[in-house]
Amino acid sequence: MENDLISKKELLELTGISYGQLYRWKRKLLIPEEWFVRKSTFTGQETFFPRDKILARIDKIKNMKDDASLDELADILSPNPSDIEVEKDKLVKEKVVSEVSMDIFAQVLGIPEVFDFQKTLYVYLVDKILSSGEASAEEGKIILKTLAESFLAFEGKQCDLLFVRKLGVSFCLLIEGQRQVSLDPGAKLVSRISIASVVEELKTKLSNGGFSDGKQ
Amino acid sequence: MANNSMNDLRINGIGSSSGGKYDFVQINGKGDITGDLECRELLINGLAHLDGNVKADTIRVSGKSDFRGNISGQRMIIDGMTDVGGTVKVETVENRGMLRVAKDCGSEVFSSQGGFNIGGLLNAGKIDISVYAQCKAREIGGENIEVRIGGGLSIRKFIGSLFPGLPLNPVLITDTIEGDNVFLENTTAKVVRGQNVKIGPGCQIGVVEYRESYYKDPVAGTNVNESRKI
Repeated sequence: MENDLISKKELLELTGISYGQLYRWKRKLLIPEEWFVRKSTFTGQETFFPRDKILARIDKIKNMKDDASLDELADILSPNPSDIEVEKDKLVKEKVVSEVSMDIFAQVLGIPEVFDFQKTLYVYLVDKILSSGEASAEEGKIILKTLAESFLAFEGKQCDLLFVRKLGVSFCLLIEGQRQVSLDPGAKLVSRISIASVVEELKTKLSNGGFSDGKQ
Repeated sequence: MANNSMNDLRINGIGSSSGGKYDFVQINGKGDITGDLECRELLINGLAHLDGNVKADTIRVSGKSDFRGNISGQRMIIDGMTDVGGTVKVETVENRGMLRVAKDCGSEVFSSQGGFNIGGLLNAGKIDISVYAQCKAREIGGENIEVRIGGGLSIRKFIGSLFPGLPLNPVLITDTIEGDNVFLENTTAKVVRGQNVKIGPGCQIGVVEYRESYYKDPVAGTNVNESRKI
């Protein structure tokens, strides 16, 4: 774990940003509170960050901040759903999700005319797991049901989707983000997806794809 | 939130309310609000206890108030004593009294002519502190940070006579200060880091780490144990 952390000083040196910028981004919720890890060192308490995540995030902010305001960025980066609404045909046409995943969604939850962000996220997650070849269509349904039933309970928190298989039986779990999970030796963790990062990915995709904001 | 259909809540004398959504909320006397409160303007003259979270465009406290939850809003003006049990997320904070926050305090502009005690991080774009009474924060971070000794000695003597026990030469005490432009007076800190750092009179600093410029007032009573360019 030690090696995965980067101190604040090292981070600023590496990325060339200033303290002011870092604090400003924290204030604007561009950098989640959980990434600020306080540890005691010989100079007192110091702040550390998960190295890969923070470097990727700062890179992203630096690249995007010329095109979008900080508030817009915060919206894209936050794990909370945005208020985008998309028509069902458009999702397939713009290749956000495949037709197969759309069918599965229709079978489990019915097909609405417009997809709000939540529903889009569900299809997108299922699509992601299906296209990686890690789950079958039947298993996609299980995942979808789990999401539909329990995802809302994690509102505002980071959460991970775990997909486990044992002796041909598969099931899926939703747990609070970054928690450690131990499985019995016979079981295999097929995939673990951080929903927050998928939300970010999807939001970026939707905002680039010219999908209109539902508020207009 | 300027909605005409929204009602006002006024407590004159002693009263209580369970909270809710209002346009204008005024407490004159003693008021308890037991739930979450959302309003355009919250004005407290007297004594108030608010058990829930508060969301308001403008919050003004002239008197004493006790917030148990979190506060969010645009502007907060404190001319009295305010305790916050949670976090403060307000665009502009103007403190002319005593502000205590148990957790973090984040704003664009934080100005204080009084005293404060922040249990977490004080994070603001512009931090402007005049130290009139003891100021404490676990950490301070932001873009422009300025800490000055408040008023002349006569004013401090006068305030000291009103509140016996207040030190005559109050200081800001914190673990770390990190910012782009940092100017400090009457500050005790373990670590100060910044682009441009200026240390004025009355400071006790453990380590200064700077990137561009550093100046330390040669006046007696200011101590910097170590300074290095990074």
